Formats: sequence, structure tokens, C-alpha cells
Amino acid sequence: MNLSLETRNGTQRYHQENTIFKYIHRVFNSWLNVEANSYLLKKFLFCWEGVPGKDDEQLLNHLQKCLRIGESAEGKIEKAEGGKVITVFFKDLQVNIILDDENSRVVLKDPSGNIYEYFLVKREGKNLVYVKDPLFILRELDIDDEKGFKQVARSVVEEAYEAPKRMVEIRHSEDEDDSSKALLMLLEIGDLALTPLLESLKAENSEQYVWDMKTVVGIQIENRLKIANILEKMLDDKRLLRIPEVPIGVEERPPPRRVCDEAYLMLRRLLSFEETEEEQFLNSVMFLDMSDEEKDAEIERFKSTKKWVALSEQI
Amino acid sequence: MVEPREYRVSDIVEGYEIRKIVIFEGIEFHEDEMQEWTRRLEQEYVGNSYEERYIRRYYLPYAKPPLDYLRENLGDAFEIEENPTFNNEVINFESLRRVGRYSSEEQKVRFIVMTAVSKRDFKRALETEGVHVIYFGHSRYGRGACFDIYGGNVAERGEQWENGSDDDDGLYRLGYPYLPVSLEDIEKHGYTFTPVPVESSSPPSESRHPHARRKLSVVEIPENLREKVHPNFRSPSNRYYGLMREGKWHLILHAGWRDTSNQPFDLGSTELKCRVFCHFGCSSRLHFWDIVRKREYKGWERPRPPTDRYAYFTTAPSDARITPLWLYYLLTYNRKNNFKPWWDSLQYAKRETNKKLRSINAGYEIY
Repeated sequence: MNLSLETRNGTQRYHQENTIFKYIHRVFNSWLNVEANSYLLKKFLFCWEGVPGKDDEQLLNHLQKCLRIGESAEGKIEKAEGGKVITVFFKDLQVNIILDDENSRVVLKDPSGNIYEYFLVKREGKNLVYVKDPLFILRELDIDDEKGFKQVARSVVEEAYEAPKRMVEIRHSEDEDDSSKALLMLLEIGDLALTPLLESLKAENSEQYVWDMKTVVGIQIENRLKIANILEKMLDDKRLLRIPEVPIGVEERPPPRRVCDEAYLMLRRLLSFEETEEEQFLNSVMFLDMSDEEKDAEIERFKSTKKWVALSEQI
Repeated sequence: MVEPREYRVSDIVEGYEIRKIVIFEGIEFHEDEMQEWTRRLEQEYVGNSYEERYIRRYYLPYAKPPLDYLRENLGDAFEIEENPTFNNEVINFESLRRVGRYSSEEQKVRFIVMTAVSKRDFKRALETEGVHVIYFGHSRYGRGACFDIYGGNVAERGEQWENGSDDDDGLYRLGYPYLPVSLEDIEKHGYTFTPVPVESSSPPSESRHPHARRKLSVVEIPENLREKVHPNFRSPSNRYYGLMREGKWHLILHAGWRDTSNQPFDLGSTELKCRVFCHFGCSSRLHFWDIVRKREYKGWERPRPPTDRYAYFTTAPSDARITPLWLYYLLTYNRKNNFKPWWDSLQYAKRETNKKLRSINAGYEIY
């Protein structure tokens, strides 16, 4: 393992011999006590060799939460098949966890036949198991654990942008060969390149500066068109939305809305550049105050003209 | 229950800024009423329908008297004084109910959170320099803020739902000059009302609430409501301007924000000196933002850079969840900002509250 921290062009970058670096790093920082600036989407769960034994509690807690077995349910753990399968027996349920050495993974099979994968990292002869499935990461979080949500969210973002950020760095480097390859890659990844490009603009190089912004604008327009296409289809969808009503202490009721009504309002927000925020708000109020027949007529008018009008004048 | 205590001298010595927040509980939003709602909903919403699950999961955990919610979520660090004694931390409101205290070490700010219930005290708070005023109650369909002093439950019928019977109850007005109110509301609450008779000219469109800026109809009011029309506004033909909205007949009523029938309890008669004004009643962005902020109305504009005159509203029909959440995020902002503009902490509270409201599909946000 060769880990080094280097500073180049003012940017600190971790170099790694192989991807195990990440996991070793994570061993020392369990996901639950993550430092503010580190990123650890995968959570260390247990050491294969520690079960049955010292890691039983961690594993049982995890299964209770993630398989929704209930915190009071007691579990019994056995290892079989030459130590390659852990079986956990709960009162009405049996779960198998299988060590898949060849593919560096651990697999959990629940009684319904669902399969969930875990990361496996080997270190000093031990097999370390990490939670990988976002479903389980979410199930381990308490709905009111805002700190936990923010930490995981940060991890998701940082992991998602790790490679695109590096591509942008390379694109801004002086090596023309690397830079042009990175440029091609940024065009290929499209949407994922948007934020890293915006965050790393280099104004001092005018050509790059303009190219980067052209790419950003191109991505944005492409996204807008994609969104508008979907919203336009939604304009034909007359299904009524379920709006939860608070039964007490409320005088005004939210107006009933259909999918097409929401689509109309979203399209207006997306495309009506000439309207100020205030005008847009007023027009949305006017629209929602219309009867379904009036709203349908306005939607049809928009579909045929592709023009927005001030609804106060229409009424 | 935590024993009441005087403020700590050390708080000031350590350089903490004291920020005073007053929550005005409007009619139907008094703490004991809210506790009763919660009990009722907990008993009634036990089934598995979409609505029942929604109420249990996304409404009941947050719709609590704000001070109770803060205590629940901040623990002992948020102290509640049930029968507050006045000292230099507490504003001497006649209708003061409870006081909460919380010192944020990260912000270096000590928050004094008071609750009060009267119209007179509401006006006084708005005129008190440097205070954060929150109105937590009904918008009365755009008329303003509405108050009453009572124990237990509010009476469903009476003048407290409109102009009030004295300086403590009824409306504090801050609405458009004319607005639509359903016959149903007038019948339900049985107050004296001020419609526009068809014998007079039609209210100009630009003076009407946005919901009333369409072609008006003529509405003949039912017999049981005729005696409740204010004598100065009676139509000999019993016909008044109105319109159909949401499948119900509405009358256009005289409302307004200055020179109103509730003077001096209107925005026009109030010299706003508070630092923050939050109107967290239903759709307050639509009902009151123009009136509070625009120059052709009150013109209470935020200076640039933003150091004073902060105002927050709701984007749609709101409910009892908003104030507890707003205060929670305001108090848990984690950057030092003592003796600095409140903008960053308020914007943080707005952003986080809106995220939470979106995540629980509340259908409204803070504007």
C-alpha cells in the first residue's frame, strides 16, 4: 500500500495505489462518527471472523433495523459450510449471509428471496464487511437524525462528483493530451460535469473559461428541454392528486390539483422567463383559483400557442 | 418542570446578545387548545388510510405548542417558565402566557421566547424596537391577524372573529381594501360584516384581493344574515357584490390595512419598529406581502445590506407545524452571530424549515 498526500497546483489530492485505500480509510472512521469533512458512504458493519462473538451485537442490530425485524427480537448466530455462511435465526425468520471470496463481496439472502450485497475488504487476514446498499443505509438512519442525513448526503455528493471533479482538474492541466481526453469525457458525462465545471472555472484562461461555460449552458439547455418534454406530456394527465388535509385548526383549504395543473405551473416556472417572480406567483394563484374547465381551457390555449399570458387579464 | 430563574449575569459578561421573540397565538391557536387537538387526533387517527397515516407520521410530531416542541427537541437547555415574572429580559405584555429561554453557545445568542395572545399586545410588539414578532394563527382569509383572550376553547360565534369587542380581541387588519369571504364563514361565526351593496359602485379591481379580481356577481344574501350587515353598509335590496369561488358564494367585504374600521388596530396606524415580522397564517404571501412590503402600501422594505425589517410569510394554506419548526432551526443555527445582522441565521432557518416542510409534503413553505 502506497499512500501519499501531494500538493500540485494548490490542490491537495490523494493518490492511491488501488481502490482499497478508500476502505482502509473508512475502517478508521466508522460512518457513525464521521468527521465533518470526510466522506464515507459505506459503513463498516462487522468483521467476519468476529461472528459469532464480539461483533454479534452490531450484526443483530443491523438486521433488526434493515430487515425490520423489530428491536426486541432476539437472534441466534451460527456459522457453517467451513465458515463461509453465517445463519441468523430469529423467532420466525432465518437469514443467510454468504462470504463470496472470489468476488470480494458478502451477500445476504432474506426469506423472500431478496438479495443484498455488502462490500468485503481483506485486511491483515481479516474479512471486513461494509454496508453498501443505500436502502440499508437509509434504514439505519432515524427520520429525525438530521445530522446523519446531512452526513450521508454529503458522502453521496462527494462520491458522485469525485471522478468528474478530477476530470475537470485534468481538463485544466497543461498536458494537452490529458486535457483533450478529459474534455471528451466531460462532454460524455454531461449532467454530472455541470457542478464540477462551475466550481472550478478558470477565468485567467479565456478560451477554457468560455469553453467551460458553453458546456455548462449546453448541459443546462439539454436538461431544460428534457424536463419540458416530460411536463408537456403531463399536461394531458387529468388524475387528481391526493393532498393531505389537516383536519383541525385550518381555515383555508389547498385548492384541488391534478397532475396537469402541476405540470402547467412547473412549465411556467421553467420557461416563462419574461415574468418576474411576483408575476409568476400571482399567475399561479390565479390559475389554481380557476375551475377545472377554466384550467383545461388555459392548458389547451398554451399547448396551441406556446405563449404565456397574464391570467389576471384573461379572467 | 424547571424552576423559573433570573437571567444569568454571566450571559451578558460572556458577550451573548439577547434576542427577544414573541409568538402571538391567534384565535384557535392557544397552547391549551393545541394540546387538546393533538390528543383528539392521536385518538381518532389510528387507522391505516392515507390521511390517517399522514397525520400520525407527518403532522402530529410537529404540530405542537412551539415552546413544548422546543423543549422536546432541545431538552433541558430550553427552559420554560410557566408563570413568568417580569424582569429586564421579558417584555411586560399584559397577555403574556409563557416564557422560554435558550442560550446558543455556537451563536453566542440568548433567546427569550415569549407567548402572548392579545391584539393590543400584538400592536405593541410590532412597535417595539428590535423584537422578532411571530403571528401564529388564522389569516381570516386575508383580513389580517385575529385574536381573543379566553381559557379553554374559543367561542365559535361572536365579534371576536371580525372587528372584535374591545382592544384585546378581533382583527388586527393588514389586508387588501376589499376581499372575498364565503357566506359559510359569516354564517359559521355570526359576526357583523361589511359587504358592498350593489347600489354603490363596484370596488375597483386594483383594490381587491387577487382572488376577487374577476368579474363580480350580484349576491342576494339569505334572510338569516341580513341583520348582521353593519347598518352603514346595508343594501335596500339585500343584494351585494360577490363571486363564486371553490363552489361557494363569497361576498366582497370591506377590509383594508389603513383607515380601517379597526383603527388603531391596523397596519396603517402602526409604526413598525420590530426587526422581524413573521405572519405564519394561511397564504400570507398572497394576502399580506404586497401590503407590508410594497411602496404603494405600507412600504416596510428591507434595507440593503439586509440588517433590519425582515419579514416572512407562507406560500399557501399553512398549519400548526410551521412555527415550531421555524424556531427550532433558528435556535439551532450553528454559527457565531452575536451583535451581527440576523440575516444569515434567519435565512438558515427559512431554508431548513422549507426543506423539512417539503420532506413532509406540507404543501406550503416560508416565503
